[in-house]
Amino acid sequence: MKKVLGSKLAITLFCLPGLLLFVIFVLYPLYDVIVYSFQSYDGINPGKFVGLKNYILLWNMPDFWEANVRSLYLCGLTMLVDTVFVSIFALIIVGLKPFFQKAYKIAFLLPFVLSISVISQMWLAIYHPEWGILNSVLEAVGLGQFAQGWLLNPDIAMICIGFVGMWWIFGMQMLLIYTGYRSIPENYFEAAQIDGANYFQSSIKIALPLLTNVIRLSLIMTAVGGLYTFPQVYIMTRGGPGGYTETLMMYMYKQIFSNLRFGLGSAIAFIAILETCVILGTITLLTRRERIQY
Amino acid sequence: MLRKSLAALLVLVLLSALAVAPAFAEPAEGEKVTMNVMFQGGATGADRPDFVMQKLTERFPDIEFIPNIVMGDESNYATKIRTLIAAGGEGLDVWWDRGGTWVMPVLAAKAALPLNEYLDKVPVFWDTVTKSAIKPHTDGNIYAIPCEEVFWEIIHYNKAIFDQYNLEVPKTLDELIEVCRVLKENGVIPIVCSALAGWPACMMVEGFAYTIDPEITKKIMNGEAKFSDEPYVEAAKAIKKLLDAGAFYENTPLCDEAEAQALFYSGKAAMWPNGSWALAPAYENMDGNCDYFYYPAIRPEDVDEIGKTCSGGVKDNAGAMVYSGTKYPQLATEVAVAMSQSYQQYLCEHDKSPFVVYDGEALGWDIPDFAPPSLRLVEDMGKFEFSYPFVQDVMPSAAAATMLMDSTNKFFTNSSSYGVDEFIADLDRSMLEK
Repeated sequence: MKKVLGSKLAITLFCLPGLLLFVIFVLYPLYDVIVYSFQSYDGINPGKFVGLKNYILLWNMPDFWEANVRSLYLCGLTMLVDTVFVSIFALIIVGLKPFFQKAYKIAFLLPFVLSISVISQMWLAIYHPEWGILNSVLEAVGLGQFAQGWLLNPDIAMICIGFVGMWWIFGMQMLLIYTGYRSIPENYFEAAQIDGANYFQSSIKIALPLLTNVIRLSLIMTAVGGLYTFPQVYIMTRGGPGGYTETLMMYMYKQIFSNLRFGLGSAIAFIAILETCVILGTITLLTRRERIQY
Repeated sequence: MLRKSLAALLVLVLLSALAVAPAFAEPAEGEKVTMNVMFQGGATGADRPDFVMQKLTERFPDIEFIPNIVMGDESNYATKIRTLIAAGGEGLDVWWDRGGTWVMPVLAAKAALPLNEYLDKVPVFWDTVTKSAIKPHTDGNIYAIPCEEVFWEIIHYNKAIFDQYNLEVPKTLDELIEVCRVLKENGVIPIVCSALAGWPACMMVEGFAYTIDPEITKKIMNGEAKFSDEPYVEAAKAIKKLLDAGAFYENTPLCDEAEAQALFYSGKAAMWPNGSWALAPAYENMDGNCDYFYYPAIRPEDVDEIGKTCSGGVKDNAGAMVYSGTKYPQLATEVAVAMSQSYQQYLCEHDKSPFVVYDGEALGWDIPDFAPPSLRLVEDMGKFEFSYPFVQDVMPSAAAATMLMDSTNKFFTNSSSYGVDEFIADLDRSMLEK
């Protein structure tokens, strides 16, 4: 094995299939997106080079900025709920008896078994103003004054849609952090216990710092998930009513497939990729720390 | 000298070969031909595509058909067509296209075959089709043979509910508002409009605009008028009045076609603005309790004009199309005609729609008993003095159509920040979308 790993040729050969797939399915499409973003292209007829026109157009489109703000808002909200709250929740669950740990894990992971399309349809029914379960429950518990058209109210429609994705992935994120916690050697906590630390103190002082890598991964996953929110929007509102729930991905989809502006859509895609790089770079910088050795 | 003579001879042979070659390549005797046929499944279910495929197989036993039934919505379907064309047309011979603004890039790419000369050689076509339904494109070429029926903008209503509350069919906007008030007071949703898709809401605005000037949409498209002229402004005000009066279903901006249909069929909603394609199925599903009326006049003095004009007809460049790179264009055209005929046969026999463009009797179809309201509308059709396709289908570009529909959806939210002025301004702006 050492001999093989010592050979640069062998390493290159082993990496080649993966590299080839990466080039074909990631780099080449990315290159295509960049090229199209400088073209006027309707998907059929040959594209015409238009320089920065698509980017200038986007700069002057209020709808684009609004969609972008909504996506960034969802990105922040998802990170908050599905990483910060989930981390707290996971730390609480770890302290429970094994039976309850299992029960909670299964209960929270169940939505993730279903596809987001099914989940979106289900929540569409829950939010429905006429026959939705949510309004019925509110009426039943005497909170009828809060019953409303959840997806019709421009002030809360976006949060309602964001909640669907957050609820869907909550169990997965919890499992990630829970597993990270379980992989911390027990003797760390035992030593802390001997020194008089309670559960809360061990969680804050020992578990959280050791979970940095897992939390970073969770932040990255939720940030990308929030920024790229699309299926829920497409299925539940199509960006409506009146564009109040139009996310960046929905806006891109509309430009490409409804308006036949593949060039403009590619420019949006490229901007989204750049935004992702900035967000992921910031997350990495903020969570950077020295390598921990157990 | 000999070389020159041989060269001249060779050129002559080549030229004569070209001259005697058949104008269109056709399959040799006994040759097994494969034909890719593509159309949308989705909302209509699998029955219609199955019926069409069965008829095609019966009619062309020597052709091996490769059906490509695409499920999903219109944009998924249109994207698949465009992708196939952009990829060189492999796997595409005949397809159903929804037409309107979406087909423009396909025509610009010359991906659709001009069918004029091929149609003349199709055995049973011109004698059985309503000629006015075969609409040439602006370049004079025929690209599509209609699959969908002829349709009109009408308001369907539940006769039983109207009878129960002694309501008359409204002829003016004020009468419509009064009808809505009575219905609302009695716990019935007055109007259900599936505004999520945008186009049903556009149809409503256009329907009211027609009562002031039936030619307004045509004038706007020709650059002779604007959306900010009186007809559309008054139509928007009419919708606003109805919205303010609570005439619409609460979930209107997010209501899709299936939900609207369910509410209307079940009697929870009393009126359903839609295309006339919904008339026969609604009559069937509501035990004969469905009828229709034309958009009430905004101005009382226009009452006598109601029903003389109606938006609709046959959509431009919509129907069965043939890919320009198909191997056997004449055969593909015959398949396209057969596809159109069997599609319409299904509409006639199964959906009991009389709004087909073929002479069903001449083609040997089992003509059913049509619903009385459908027959009345057929009678009215002959009297329409003017008609023009739906506004969303004639906008200058796909982006313009999308903006029109999005703006209308937004208008139907009845938001205080998006009133008549903002809506009309957006409609005018939509005309500038390239």
